[in-house]
Amino acid sequence: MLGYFALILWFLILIVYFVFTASIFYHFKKYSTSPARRRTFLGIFSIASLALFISNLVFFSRIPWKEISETLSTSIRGLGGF
Amino acid sequence: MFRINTNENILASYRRHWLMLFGDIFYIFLMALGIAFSAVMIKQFFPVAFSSLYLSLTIWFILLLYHGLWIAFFVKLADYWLDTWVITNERIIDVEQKGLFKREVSEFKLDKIQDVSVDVSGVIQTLFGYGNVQIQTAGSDRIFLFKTVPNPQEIKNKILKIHDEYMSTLNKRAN
Repeated sequence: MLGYFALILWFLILIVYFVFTASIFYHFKKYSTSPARRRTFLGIFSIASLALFISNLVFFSRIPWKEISETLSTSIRGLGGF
Repeated sequence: MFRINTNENILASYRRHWLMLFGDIFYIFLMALGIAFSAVMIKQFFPVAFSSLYLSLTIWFILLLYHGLWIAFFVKLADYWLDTWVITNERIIDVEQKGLFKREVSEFKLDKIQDVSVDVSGVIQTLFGYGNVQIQTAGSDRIFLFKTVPNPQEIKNKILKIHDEYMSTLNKRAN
């Protein structure tokens, strides 16, 4: 349950990131007057963005949601005891 | 971006001084440092966040924040890079990029120029050699502003020179 909630949240954040990423590409492609600089900027931007996205994906897939969920529910039950 | 006529040549184009970009991205750099510092502090005071159970979740969250900052950095870069003033042999074009979702392009013919003035104020502007160039145009109260451009005096001289050349060409055509 917690994992699905995080996935939806991450998905929503990624949509916002995607809108900004696409907009950066659009603006540089359409309005930049220097093709060489444009290529450099967009090249660096794409590679680093992709690397960040893949790292995010890898770490997200490694999160033990079931164990975290169990630990949290145990902690919450423990708090209820007080 | 804007159309250049057949007999029109771009004579110069200017951007804001690099210090303006530096000022914008400095905050992003501070935030990046803040995230790293927070991570160190969390590790110090809440080591459970970096235990094997939560390690991937913590790193994922930190990477998500850095991804956001990386995009913010490029939004600032686009804002700086696409904000330009272009002088052609016929007109002056002011392209103002405001963030990613607002863009204003205005222009006026060189014969509309009435007055060009330079405004360099403050220690930092004097030290780094940048300032504003204001162009008063005829027939409107609007002042065109070349904001925080490097070497404003040189730009002013160039505009006046181009204006004189344009006016003499117009006079020759009229005669």
